[in-house]
Amino acid sequence: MKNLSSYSPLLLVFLLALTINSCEKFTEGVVQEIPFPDHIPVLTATLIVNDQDDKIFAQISSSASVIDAEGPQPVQGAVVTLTDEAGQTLYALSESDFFDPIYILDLENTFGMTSGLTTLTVDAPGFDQITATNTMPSKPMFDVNYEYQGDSTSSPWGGPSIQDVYTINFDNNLGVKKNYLIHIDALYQDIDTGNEEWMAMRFQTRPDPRITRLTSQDESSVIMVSDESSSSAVSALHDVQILTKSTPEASKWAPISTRVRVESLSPELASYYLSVDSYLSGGPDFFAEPSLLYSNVSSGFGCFGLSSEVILIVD
Amino acid sequence: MRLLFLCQFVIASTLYSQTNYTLSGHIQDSSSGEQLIGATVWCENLEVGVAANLYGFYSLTLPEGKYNVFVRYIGYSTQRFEINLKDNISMDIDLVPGTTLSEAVVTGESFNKIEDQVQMSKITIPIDQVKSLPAIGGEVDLLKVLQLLPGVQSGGEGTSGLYVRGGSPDQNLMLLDGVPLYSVNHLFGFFSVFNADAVKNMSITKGGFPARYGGRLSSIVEINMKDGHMKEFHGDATVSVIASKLTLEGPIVKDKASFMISARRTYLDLLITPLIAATNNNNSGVSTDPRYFFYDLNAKLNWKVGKKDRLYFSAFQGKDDFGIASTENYGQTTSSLDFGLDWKNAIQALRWNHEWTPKLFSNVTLTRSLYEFNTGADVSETSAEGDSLRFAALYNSGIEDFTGRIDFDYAPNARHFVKFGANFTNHTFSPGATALELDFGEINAIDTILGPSDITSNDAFVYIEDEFDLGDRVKVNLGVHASALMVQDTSYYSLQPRAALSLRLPGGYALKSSFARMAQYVNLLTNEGLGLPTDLWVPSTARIRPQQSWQVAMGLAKTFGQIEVSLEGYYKEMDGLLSYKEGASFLFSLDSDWEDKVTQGIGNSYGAELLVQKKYGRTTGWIGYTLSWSNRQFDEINSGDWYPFTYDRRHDLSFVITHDFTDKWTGSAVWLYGTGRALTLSESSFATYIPDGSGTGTYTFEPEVPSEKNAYRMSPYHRLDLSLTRTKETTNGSKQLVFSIYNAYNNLNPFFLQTDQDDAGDPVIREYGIFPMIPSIAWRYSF
Repeated sequence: MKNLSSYSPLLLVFLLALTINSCEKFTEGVVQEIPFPDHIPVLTATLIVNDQDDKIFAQISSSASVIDAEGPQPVQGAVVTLTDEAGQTLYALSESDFFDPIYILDLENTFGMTSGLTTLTVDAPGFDQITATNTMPSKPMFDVNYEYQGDSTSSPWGGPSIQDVYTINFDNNLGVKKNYLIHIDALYQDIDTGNEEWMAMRFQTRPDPRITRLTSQDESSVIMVSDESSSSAVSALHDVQILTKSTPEASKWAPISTRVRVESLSPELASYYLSVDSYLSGGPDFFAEPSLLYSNVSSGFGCFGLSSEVILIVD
Repeated sequence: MRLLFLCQFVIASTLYSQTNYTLSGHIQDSSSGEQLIGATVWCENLEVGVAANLYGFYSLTLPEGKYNVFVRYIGYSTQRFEINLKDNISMDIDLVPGTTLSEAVVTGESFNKIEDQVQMSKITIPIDQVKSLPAIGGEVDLLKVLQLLPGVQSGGEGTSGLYVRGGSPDQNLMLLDGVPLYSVNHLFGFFSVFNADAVKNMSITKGGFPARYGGRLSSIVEINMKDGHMKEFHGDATVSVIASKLTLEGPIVKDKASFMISARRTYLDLLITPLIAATNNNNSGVSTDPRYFFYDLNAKLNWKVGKKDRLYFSAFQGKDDFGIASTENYGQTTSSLDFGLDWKNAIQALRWNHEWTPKLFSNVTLTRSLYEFNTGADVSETSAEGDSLRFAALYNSGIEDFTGRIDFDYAPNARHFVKFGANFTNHTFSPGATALELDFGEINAIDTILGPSDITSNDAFVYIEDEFDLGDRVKVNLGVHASALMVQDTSYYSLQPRAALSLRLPGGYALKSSFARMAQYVNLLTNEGLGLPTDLWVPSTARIRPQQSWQVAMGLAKTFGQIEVSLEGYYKEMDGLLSYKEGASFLFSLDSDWEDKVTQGIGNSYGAELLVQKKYGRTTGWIGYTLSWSNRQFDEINSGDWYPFTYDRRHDLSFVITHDFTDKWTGSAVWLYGTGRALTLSESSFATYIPDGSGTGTYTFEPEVPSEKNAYRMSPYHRLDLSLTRTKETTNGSKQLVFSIYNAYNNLNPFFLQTDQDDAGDPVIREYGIFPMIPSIAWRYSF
């Protein structure tokens, strides 16, 4: 061992050989290839309906592996049934209601309020039956205070920012977790033709732990208000403030009035909306864990959600 | 109530010790005056002993009489002397270092063997052994050595993060000379900030935490800097392919005051400067100037003010600076980009040791700890007419602590060792703010700051613990740690009982058990994997509850000759764990409220650990094996179902060996194996929709569906590192040439995954590695 130093040249040659081999491996960089796991397609269903809706939309598809170039396919021959707690059929959609890629059923009236558990059942040839249940929440109870140009702040982009303020006070059902979806629409009139149309308004909110801004639905500026963290006080859901610009976005349209639409969401539908928002707003984030969409459908894909809506017109 | 009981107990012990006398003082290295932490004083006649504390102070109270006393420390010749104890004796003891850690130096039955200690789940590695292990690029890394111990895992190939018993990196309290250090990473986590040349001692405690420790759930890593040579001027210089470092130490006043200063810097930036210059010369329109370097500086002053007082001042500063500056000049227009990313740590600590009586020792510590992270970009364009456009954004975050702490060691008699103290810390968190500057010529210029404001919090704790004997076979450490946090008009309180018990069994075995409840008021928001400087330290707030845990452990320990063997099983439950929500990370959200992006959950971990360790002799090293499970549950992740933690690693095995072939040649080898990291992959997709908001249509999309959280595993990790050190003694000192090979059999371990296509065009998931075999050489000179 005392003559170990005499082996130094051999050691250097050995190191050189290893280095060359190492560089080759470094260039390639691949440790191993893992084949994608096999995927057995299952039936998926999404049906979301509001008591004020006069249409029912049902998205029925078969799931696909992420490496399937064709992706998920709509299932044409499905029978979609909604039944009440007693097992009576409320509505049914079938192949005649299929307008690729979605089933649409036009209702004679609005969907209306349902009581108790409503069950969604989907049968399609070649697939196991899937089901989901949901309970329609009670109508939201709230009042709105509107203040024209009630807020004036300095914009970070320079100049003042003047906004109208909508203050919404909800009745708090103590001990019950409630989730509300809030939209604000403006009724615009076309100056040339006199036609009127409700259009979603963009709006802002102040930092408020009760408010979740659904950025994935940003086209219509939607927020979700939740009383999860503050349900112990009667006034916990008071003073929810929304700020909107008074100025119309296009001069061709003149604003006539505005309205506040509030949807009371079932807990399952609220979870679905939050997970969709997380999924769609996450973007291509290498560092984030992939989002999992909430599902209450027996196959694990899709959502059956009910909501009830109240509209207040603000002059 | 328990506190009251312990206080009464302490007072009673004092009263009943009136006929006893105390032998006390410091134990130090005879050549350097360095205090020897953990050196033992053993009274052979009564079979009782004591270990020196963090400052080398010991206190052993015995009845009046004549005794044979042994003083021992690994790597030093044992001292044996007789004392006639008829009065208190104050005696500083000098131990003579052995030339190597050979068997001849420490002989016979030693006190403070693993079976003698109540403390379990604590591992100390001699720093000389650490320095002789193979290191990537020749740069010895203390944290990577800790990763080789059972119960401690790394975050990924080459990274320095520690995952202890299923915990996350923020659950490790990293103490450098008693000061918490928040970021321990250089070079994006591939190196730690600890410079082995400046370090005297290193230990990790994974469970059975005594009451004096608190503030983190999973481990306490204590690293102490050298005090500085009290007698002669000495130095160490090391040149490796990654960095160079220089350590100087010596007396300011011989045997009264000393200093130690150690500096390290990388020179990747200096090495590539000629290449960059050549590239720029070949392209007249474009100039690119990338930069990366890190440095760290350790310094310590040590002053024996009097026989009973000693002052220490220690400081550390480390910084990483990464960036790229680019200028393009095309005809009439010049555009420039300057991107930068830098982070820095700084700590200062002032400590005052005082010996009130031979039985009562105190240490007062005042510290400051600072961590800052900055990143930003400055883009500008100037036309020939002089019109200019400019956009600049700077994101910064950080944390600054000021701490005052007092600790007392009280040894009323040979069978009781009491520690008590208090701590107060003021934290200022800057959880991310973005400064924007825009100047578009005619449009109004903007200069504003967006993002959350600073958060200030105060936390405090008091503790008391007593380590005592119950008869000849049972040793107990009982204590309580009480802490409080005041933040945002909210207060949190935590009472944390601690207990450890050691029962001697026939055959020399010790059966040990422990229980510890812990609370943590600071959190690291991190995306699992790389130790990125973008990781954000945030406090518990009115919305974010503190992390808490409790852990029980049980084990067997015994020393067979020179080999210590311990087998431990543990179970830990954690609450208040913090994680980014699904789909969220630090990206795309630097100026938004971090509290909206996180969710809190619970976790558990359990397993068994085996450690076979040989600390001295020509051959040293250890074998460590861990069998473990670690799981998490968050209401907003994985549909609220339990899932395996990313670093749930079923098997973890390491062999570490160092052998002195001759006085000149030392070889060492490390082999490790670990179950692959758990991860989530997208498996399938389906069609779904959300209403368009008007009730008349839908917005349809096809989301990918990930597998169950962490349902897949990367390939197992395994690697062999080798090193060979040649030492040559010269008249002025010694020279060492260190050859090392990282990943000697060139196994490319997985670092990340990517979806790709194989040769046949079929989609596959490819695992990519980044570190093949890396040979390196380092040169050291000590004088």
